[in-house]
Amino acid sequence: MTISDFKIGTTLAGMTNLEALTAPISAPRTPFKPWATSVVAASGVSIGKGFPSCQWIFSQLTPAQRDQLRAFCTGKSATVYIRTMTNDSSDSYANYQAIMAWPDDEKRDPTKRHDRLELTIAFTMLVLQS
Amino acid sequence: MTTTIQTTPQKAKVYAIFDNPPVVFACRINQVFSGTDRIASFVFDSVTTGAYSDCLPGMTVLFGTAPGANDAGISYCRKTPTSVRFFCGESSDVAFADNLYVTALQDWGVWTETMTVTDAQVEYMKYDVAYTDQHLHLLPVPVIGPDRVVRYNGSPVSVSFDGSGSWAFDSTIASHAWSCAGATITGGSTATPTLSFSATGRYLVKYTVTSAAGAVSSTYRTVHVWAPGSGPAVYDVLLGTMTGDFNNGGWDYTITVSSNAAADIRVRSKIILFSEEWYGNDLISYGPCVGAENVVAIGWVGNEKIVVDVNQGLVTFEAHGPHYWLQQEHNFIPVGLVLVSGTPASWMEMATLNTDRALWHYLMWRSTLSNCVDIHLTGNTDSCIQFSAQANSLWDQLKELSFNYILALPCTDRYGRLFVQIDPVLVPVASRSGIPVTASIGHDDCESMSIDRLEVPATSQILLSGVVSTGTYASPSDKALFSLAPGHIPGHYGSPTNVDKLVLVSQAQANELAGNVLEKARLPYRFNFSNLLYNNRLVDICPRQFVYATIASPDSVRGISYVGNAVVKTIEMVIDQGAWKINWKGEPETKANLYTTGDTPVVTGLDGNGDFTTTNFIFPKMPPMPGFGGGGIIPSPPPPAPVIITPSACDDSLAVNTSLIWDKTTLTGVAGDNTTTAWNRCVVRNGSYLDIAVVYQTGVTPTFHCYAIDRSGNNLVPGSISVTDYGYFGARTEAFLHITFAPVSNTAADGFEFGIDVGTYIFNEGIPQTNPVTPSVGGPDPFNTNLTYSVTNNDLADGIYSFHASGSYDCEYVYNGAWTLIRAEMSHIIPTTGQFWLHVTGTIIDIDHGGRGGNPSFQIDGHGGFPNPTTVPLSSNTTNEIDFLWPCNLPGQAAENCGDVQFTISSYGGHEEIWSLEFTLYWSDAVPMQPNVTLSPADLYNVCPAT
Repeated sequence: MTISDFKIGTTLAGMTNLEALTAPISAPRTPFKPWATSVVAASGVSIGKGFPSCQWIFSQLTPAQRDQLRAFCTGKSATVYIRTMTNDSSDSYANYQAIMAWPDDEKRDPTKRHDRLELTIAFTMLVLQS
Repeated sequence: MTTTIQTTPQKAKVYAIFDNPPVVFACRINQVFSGTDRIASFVFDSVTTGAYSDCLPGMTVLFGTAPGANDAGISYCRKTPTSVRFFCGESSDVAFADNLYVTALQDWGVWTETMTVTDAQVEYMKYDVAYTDQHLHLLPVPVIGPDRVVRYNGSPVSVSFDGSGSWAFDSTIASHAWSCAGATITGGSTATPTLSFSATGRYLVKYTVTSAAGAVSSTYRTVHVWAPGSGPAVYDVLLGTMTGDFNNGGWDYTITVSSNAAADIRVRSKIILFSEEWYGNDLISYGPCVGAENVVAIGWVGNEKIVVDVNQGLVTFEAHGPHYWLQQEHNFIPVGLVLVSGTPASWMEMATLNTDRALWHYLMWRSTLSNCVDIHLTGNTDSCIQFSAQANSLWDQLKELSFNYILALPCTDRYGRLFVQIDPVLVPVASRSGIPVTASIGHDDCESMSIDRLEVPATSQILLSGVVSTGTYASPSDKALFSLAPGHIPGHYGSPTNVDKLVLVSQAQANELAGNVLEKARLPYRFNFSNLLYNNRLVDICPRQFVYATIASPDSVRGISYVGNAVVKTIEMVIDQGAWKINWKGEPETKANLYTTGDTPVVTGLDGNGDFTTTNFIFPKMPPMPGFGGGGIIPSPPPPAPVIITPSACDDSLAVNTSLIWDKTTLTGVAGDNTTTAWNRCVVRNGSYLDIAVVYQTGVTPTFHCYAIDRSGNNLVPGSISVTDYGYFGARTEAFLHITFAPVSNTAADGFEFGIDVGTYIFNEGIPQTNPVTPSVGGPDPFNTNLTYSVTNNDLADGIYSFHASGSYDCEYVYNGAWTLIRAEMSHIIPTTGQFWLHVTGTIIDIDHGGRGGNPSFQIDGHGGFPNPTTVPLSSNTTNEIDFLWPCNLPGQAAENCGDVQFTISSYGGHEEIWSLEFTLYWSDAVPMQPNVTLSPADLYNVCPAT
């Protein structure tokens, strides 16, 4: 029984709930941007342009948990499928194809256990999947 | 909810395919060359790939020292090889050598095709194609749209083509035939087939169109069926700003890819940019070409724009549309066509001749363009007896053939399709309803709107002329037309512009066209629509179209409002944060307002008060004749009717050195460069030469330039021009020109039109001078001048000659009674009799009069028949408006003593500023005004008269 519905996979059908991974990962904090930028028309009307993006922010990951995520993105970026929370309502999830970007630096907080990582993974170019 | 072009949010990804055509034939050269000049074929052996019959005309061919290499050069297949001989495009630019590797690719590019002319004056197109009936049964032009890119998702995907836009002169399209190896084709013999693909890959589509007259043409496109990791390599690219600029002729852009792609890319590699776009959550693209909406742009890798950045492992390419490559390809001359009656008998003849047909000949027989892109011409059918273009690039020749005759210009769109069209604002207003409005733009549609008000060069008047041509080259029957805008009197500011030698339809059309040209020239406004809210790739710089612009007066602090059509001239596109960022720059639609027929005008007197009778003013009724470089003719006498050159009528039995009197002694001014021109026609033979005397004002240095055009309209450079200056006789200098015709190699007589330009100054810039009285205190005056002149109307055919002076000079310190003047001479005008007037208007500001010796003054003086100097007193330390008319009677004056005018501003110390002084000469019909350069009657040796 999982609590949240965050999923990741290399195919849409093959996504796995983060809590169902071999080393279960609890739900991340997830700021979600429905568009990349906004443009204000000369009349004052504003519209959003560009792809949605989101971040998965993990406050502390074990090396095993981190390696599970790293397996989906062995280079700087990779195309993956995710199920993540959107802004539309409190418990609204949606499936996306996304570019998963591995962070340039991985932070270790000395106030916590030395083998725990703070990790922020950015997902860009989100394309809604039906 | 229906997805529209305004559905948000909008997203876009752009990918690139670098077309990697397969090798269809590979062999080695089996021939020893004595040189590499003008090689058009070679013997081959050692075939390693394909069969010689797989090589098709226009295919790209690489020459290298290794298989597939191009280090020795690149050319194209001229025609299908035989079993032992390969036919390449004639070239002197390939390092041909025995055993060189030859690689023919399944690729078609833009090349010029050479023509050859034998010693017997027989022309061949594409090096060795003799004329049979190609100008009787004209090749149809295939039109099928651009290359296609489709994504394969595991089940068959379909691609539709549409060849219904194909066209043929004097015929209809009788049949369509499509072929594509690897595809299932439905409707393969119709104009609109559907091709189905069951696997990823690069597919070649061949389309063959046959006219009812039996002429056949083919064109080729590629279909790229791709899937991630399968099929043609699809690259993620960094797209620099794509810019489409109408004035530059098309689209250019840069793309950056990772370095591992560099090895696959060579010069002239075709790049297809395509996109995946979302409107809301719907994956869909909107574009102007049905079936290719996702194709963003097609271009070819530039020659010398490859930058390899080793540190970051990136390669940046500059890619260009066909316009760029057409600009790079220098074409061969002669480029000329003449209208004949009956059946055309050579490559230079056509039975129906207009701009489109001239362009057709040029594009279909002198280039390979139609192999790879669509060609759309103007639709103009106005007849002309001859078309010609100078030696230049393919693109410049296209412009010359289209703009010089009907004011059309070529342009290529993002897909590379060529459109030759007349600017929308030069189209008659009543005919503009057919021009589509492809978008609307207002303050809800873009991030910002701005209006630039440009300080455009002021155009005071458009003098538009041309002919309605109804005859043939051998028997012309032209009606000359002349139109003026805004009217007979130029505007107060700016310079007149001649638009001449046009092919026209009627006086009314010419008049409105003059008005349209004037409005376009005077248009000061440019619109900028920045960062469109909606991804709109439907709008392009061509084909011609309007966008409907709405600018409300409250939106600008200047209160400018505009509601109407605009013409987009520049488009910038870039991918910014996953969405298109698009800027448009354009001009509002203009419409002809003021124009008139260029006949005798209504003149109410120079000051508008009827001070002068109008009956003695005459203006020319005949415009310059087209196509032969002749400018307008001085009012009297009227220009002679065209002389038909018929060499066969030349009496070869005439004794050598039989002379022909040169009967053209009048010259006309050419706007802007102060040159004069005269033309004559004659029949010359080998060894002909011309002696002609030119008389001009002493003290100037004329330039001489001689032209010869044969009866096919080809420019020929005379063999030599030698000038012997026989010195001056008083105020006049006489030079003697001896001109030979060495290029005329055949001994038989041939027809030529021959002209001479004499460049000289009609207006001589003033020279500041001081009073010869030597100041007794303080030494010579350190005056400082900054006086500039511009000729605003030197077309003597108008009966008006005017120039403009502005600037300032200082006279800081002058001793008692001394004065400073600025002298300007209006020289080289010969009013031999009668009367003319000099009208001077403007402003002279006395900035700081020194207070010595009285007030400053403005004095006008002249030689010969001018009356005594006329002096206008000026007030000190204020602005003085000058407006006076100075009549001049010239009875019995010798030519060299007349016409010079000088003006003097006397300032007894101080600072004078001349602001906008306008001098205008008017003369009556009793005064056959001529530039003070005359050509003597000349002897043409070894010629016989044209008949």
